[in-house]
Amino acid sequence: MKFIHLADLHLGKMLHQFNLIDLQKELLDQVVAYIQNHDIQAVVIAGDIYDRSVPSQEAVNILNDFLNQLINEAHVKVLMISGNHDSNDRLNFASAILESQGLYIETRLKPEMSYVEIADVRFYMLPFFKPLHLKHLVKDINFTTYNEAMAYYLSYQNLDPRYRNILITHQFVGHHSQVSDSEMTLSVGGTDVIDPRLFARFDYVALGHLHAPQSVQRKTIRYAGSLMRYSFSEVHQDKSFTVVDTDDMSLVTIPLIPSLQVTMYRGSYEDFIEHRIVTKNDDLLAIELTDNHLIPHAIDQLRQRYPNVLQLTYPQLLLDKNLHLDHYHEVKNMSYYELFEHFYEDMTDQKLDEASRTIVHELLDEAGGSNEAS
Amino acid sequence: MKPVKLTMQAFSTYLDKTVIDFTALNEKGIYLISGDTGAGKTTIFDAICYALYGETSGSNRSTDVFRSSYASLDEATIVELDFMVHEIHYIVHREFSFRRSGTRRPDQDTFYYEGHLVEGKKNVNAAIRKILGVDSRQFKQIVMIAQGEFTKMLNVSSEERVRIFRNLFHTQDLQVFEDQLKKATKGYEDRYKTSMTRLNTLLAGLDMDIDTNYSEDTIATIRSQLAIKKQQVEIEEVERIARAREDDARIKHIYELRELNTAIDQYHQYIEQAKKLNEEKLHYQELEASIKRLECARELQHTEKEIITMEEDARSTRESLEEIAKEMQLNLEESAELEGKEGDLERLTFELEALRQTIAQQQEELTHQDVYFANKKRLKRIKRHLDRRYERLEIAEQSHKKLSSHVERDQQSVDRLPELRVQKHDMEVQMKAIVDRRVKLHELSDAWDSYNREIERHYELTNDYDQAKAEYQNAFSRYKGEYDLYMSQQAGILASRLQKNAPCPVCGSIHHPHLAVLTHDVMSAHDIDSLEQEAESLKTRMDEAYDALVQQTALKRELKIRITNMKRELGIIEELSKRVFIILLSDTIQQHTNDAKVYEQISDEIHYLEKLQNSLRVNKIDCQKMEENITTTRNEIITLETERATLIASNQMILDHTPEIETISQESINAKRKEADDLNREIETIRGARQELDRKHLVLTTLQQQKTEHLFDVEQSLVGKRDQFNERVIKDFESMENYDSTKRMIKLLDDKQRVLREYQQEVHTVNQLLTTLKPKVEGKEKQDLTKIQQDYDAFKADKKKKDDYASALRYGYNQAKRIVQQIEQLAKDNDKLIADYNLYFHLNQIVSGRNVHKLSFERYVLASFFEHILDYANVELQSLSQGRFQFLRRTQTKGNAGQGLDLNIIDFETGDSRDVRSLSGGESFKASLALALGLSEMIQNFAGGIELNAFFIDEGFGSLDGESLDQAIEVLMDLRRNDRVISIISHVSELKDRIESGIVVTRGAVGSEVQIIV
Repeated sequence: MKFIHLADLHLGKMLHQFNLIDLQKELLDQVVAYIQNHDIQAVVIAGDIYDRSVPSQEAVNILNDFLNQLINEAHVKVLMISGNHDSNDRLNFASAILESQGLYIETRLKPEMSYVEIADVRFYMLPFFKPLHLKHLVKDINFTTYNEAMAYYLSYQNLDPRYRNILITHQFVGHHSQVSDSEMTLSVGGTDVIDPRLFARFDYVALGHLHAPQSVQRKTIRYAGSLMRYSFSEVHQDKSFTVVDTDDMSLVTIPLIPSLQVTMYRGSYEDFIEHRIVTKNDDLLAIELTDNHLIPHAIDQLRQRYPNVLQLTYPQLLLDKNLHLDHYHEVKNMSYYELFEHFYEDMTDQKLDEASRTIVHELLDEAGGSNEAS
Repeated sequence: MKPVKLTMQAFSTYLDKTVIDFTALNEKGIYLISGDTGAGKTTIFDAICYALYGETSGSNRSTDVFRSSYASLDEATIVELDFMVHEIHYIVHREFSFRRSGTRRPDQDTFYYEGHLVEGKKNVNAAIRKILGVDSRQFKQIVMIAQGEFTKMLNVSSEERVRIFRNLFHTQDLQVFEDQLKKATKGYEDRYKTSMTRLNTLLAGLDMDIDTNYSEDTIATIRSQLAIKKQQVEIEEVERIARAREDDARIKHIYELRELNTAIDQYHQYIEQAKKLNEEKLHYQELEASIKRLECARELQHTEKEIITMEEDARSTRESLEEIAKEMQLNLEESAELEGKEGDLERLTFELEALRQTIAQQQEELTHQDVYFANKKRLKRIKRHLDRRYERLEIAEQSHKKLSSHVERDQQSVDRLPELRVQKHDMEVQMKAIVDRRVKLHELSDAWDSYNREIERHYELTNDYDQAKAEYQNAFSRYKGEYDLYMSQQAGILASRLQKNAPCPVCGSIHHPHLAVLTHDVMSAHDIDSLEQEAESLKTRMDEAYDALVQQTALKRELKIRITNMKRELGIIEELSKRVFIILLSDTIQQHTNDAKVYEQISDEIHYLEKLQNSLRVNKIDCQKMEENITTTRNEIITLETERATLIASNQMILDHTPEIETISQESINAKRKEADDLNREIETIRGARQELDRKHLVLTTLQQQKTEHLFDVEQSLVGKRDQFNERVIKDFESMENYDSTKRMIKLLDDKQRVLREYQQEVHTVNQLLTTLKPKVEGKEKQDLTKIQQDYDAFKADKKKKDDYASALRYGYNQAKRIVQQIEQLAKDNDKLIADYNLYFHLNQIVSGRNVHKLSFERYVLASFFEHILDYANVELQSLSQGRFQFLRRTQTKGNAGQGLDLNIIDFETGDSRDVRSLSGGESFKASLALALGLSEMIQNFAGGIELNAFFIDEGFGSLDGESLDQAIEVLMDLRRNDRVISIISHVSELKDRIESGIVVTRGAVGSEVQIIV
């Protein structure tokens, strides 16, 4: 059978205060269109359905429509797990009731993983969890890393090798994965990496969390990637969703192209004003101006030509850092004597002469000696 | 500063004692304090603030407000905070309560750390302030972003920032430096002014025609003027010298003239004098003669005196001679008297000798007395010793005898021991035999019982077998019968089954002529088989019974044999029966009992004897000791007896020698001694007297002789002298009367001599002077000096005037010279002063901010710090604002030198920088958060010792939209490095999802409660 692997929808996300909901709707419609033209049995959404734990009204509506289309019109089963952005409890609403209709939602960590059996495939649903969530189930053990927790949890799960065993989960797996800005850190200190070898028993692992479509360690451990580019660090990623054929475990990626793309351009202000760089004017743009000085009202001018400029930065200036007198040196490491030399030079453009230096040193010593600083 | 544990009681909404342990929360690095509005979230901050500073967090809440309105009057409000700075624990405890009347009791604030205890609100505050390094305002501004006040840091004035930073980065020194510089500059200015004034004054003091304002050429001018003066002075000097010379010459001339006049006068004078003297010459010659005579008289007077003396001498000598004679007479009388006494002398001497002898003898006897008494004492002691010993001896001998007999007796008993041992051993053997026998008897009995049993069983088994056999035979015959029947009937059955012309299964023939006929009821094959089986089983049983029987027979036989053997062993002849066993056993038992008794007896005795053996040994030793003891005592007695005898003998000897030995004593001897001494003295006295008399006699005799001779001599000389005297009187004075009268005038002699001498001298002197003066004066005459004197006086007056003038001129010149020198020196100093003053002035201008950038030095330094802070802050702000905003320190220099720390925001989108106050609410929050973080970061890294690694944010997140909230949380999460702890109060639900650990504050029925979730 074939199923679609989606993840990280982040419905309702705002990008620099620009509401992406319409684009998201577009893309979901693309998915539905694909299903209508191909033989798909199931859609797997591996977490981060919503962008916030309390999603906006529009986001809820979109999801509602999407699911409606999938289940009632296309008659495919939908398997969803919660990610780290979702609120477990809210997403879980009416999940038991919905099961009968083919909408499987799993947001709770159970002692034994539940699975949905479709044809000869078993889809195991493992929502996002933190090590301390596992502690609530297993009282005595202290899990410090995600890896430990996952290893422990999986060791108790029994799989029937006669079925195709597919794991749906939302975690940070593998070491050299591509990470972008819009993925929130799961925890402090980066101990949230999970070793992909823990999933050796599964024929396919449908992952969510990282936004770049990629495989980890083997082709069949895969991040579907986010629905669209969700931050300007993702501008080089081409988004897609994955279609998996369980008969031979082959994969096909289908590109997702929104009408408005999130892109970044760099050039001088002139270049932009003269339309030399941007191909599509209404794209969601991040503009890096290479000019060495601030252009007044640059944003307004640029917005007249490119209505969806979301971010404006001056990388050159950030490098320089100093838009002012650059004689401020490492203050904390300098003695007052040195500071005074610099001060004098800055104020008079001359070096401090010897006689004056003597006077200054003497007075500084006096001041320092007589005043016992705390 | 990291809070570790907070305790609150009766504090605002926390009525009951509430303890919040931050340890676990601190480990998480970031935690959330959540709860409904008014539950008491901010109160936790208030408590911390109050504990540290005695004040509140926000500016609009005063301390008394803290008193919980639920608390009763005498319940104390307590806040106690345990916090850590630089790894050291500090505990501050603040407590206040009210007396019944409603007035406040004195605060009981204490502060404890590392063994130090500080008491009293003031001291505690000071101590904490010192440790934290910031006062409450600064603390709030840096560490807490309180509700509604987060923009304060952002919007505060430059001045205020200066104050804060000054405190934080300890640039007070620079302020001092600035002040010092200012003071120094002013000092130089004053000195310069003073110097100038002095110069001008000096110039004025110069008596010269110059401008009294000092300027560059002044020096040259005065120098030239001075030179002129000098010249004048020199000219005058020359003239003065000339005048002086003339003066000298004149004086000399006058003097000479005067001298001459005087000499002439003198000469005439002396001539006169000489004449006079000459006239007196005769008089003086007479005088001389008289003097001579008087001198003679004096001489004779001496002689007269001598004569008188000699006469006196003679007279006295005669007198003494008379006395001597008298004395001699006396002597003789005494001598005669003494002879009487001398007669006794011999007798007395004899007496003395005898007495002496007696004394010596008695003295010797005295020593014997000592010995005698000593011996007596010793004898007494010996007797005592002896008595004791005799006693002892008797006792010892008695006990020895007793003990010896004891020992002997015991020894006899003990000798029996080996024999008894042998007996014991025999008895043992015997007893063992009895026991064996008994055992064997039991065995036999058992065997016999078994045997009997077996016999019985034999019957049973035989019966069994017979029965089994019978049964089997029955069954078998039955079976056989049925079988035969069956067989026989087979034919019938077969026959019944046979069909005509069908082959017979048996023979195969087709014809069946004689068909057997079923006669009886036949059993089925099956039943017959069962019968057979039954018979078989019965057979088996029979066989078994038979086997058993056989077996048992064998067993029986075995037993019998055994029994027979045993009987033989035990020596039993009678037929065995129960009764026999009983008799045998009882015999055995009886014997055993007897034997045991005997055995025991023997054992006991042996035991007893062994003990006795031990004591015997001991006793023997004692016995021996006693014997030794006795011998010793005996020996002692002997020794003592010997000594006693010796002493008695010795004393007897002494007594024989000196019967009165007991009576002599030292006193009597001493009395005798005294007597002897008296006697001796008497003898000596007599002898002495004799000697004395003899000596005296001799002396007197000698003296007499001497005196007689002397008298003779004197009388002889006297005669001569008299004659001599008389001769001279006649010679020099012709008669005694002349002499006598002349004698009376001797006392005038000295005066006369003197007068004569004077006269002679005077004459001499005058003659000499005349001789000297004569050549000088010869041919010269006196002169009139009046005119010359007058001329000279005039000249002198004139000279004086001129000299004065010259002197004044010189004086003036010297003055001027001195002043000029002073001026020159001052001028030099002044130049240096000007140079220094310029230097200071220049520096002061720059340092105090009167420079191109209008920045004082301190502000410059602070601005640098501020730059650093902004660097850090900008890093955070970049994340928070997604690259849109940056902080910028305003450097426009308008107005006075109060700039340097003003803050602007660069908006990249609009490309301009504007005041920080123009940001929106949410943006302001982000900016102030960034700034606070930047400041905190700076403080942490600055080696100032202030450790402020706890961070409190009270609300403010509500003003952020979804994206901003994400950014803010990312930033805060990121801050947990460097040991920072961030506490957030917020009711924003997203935060609850993101931050798991924290404190949940709920409002209970009476007061707030906290619950810590980790």
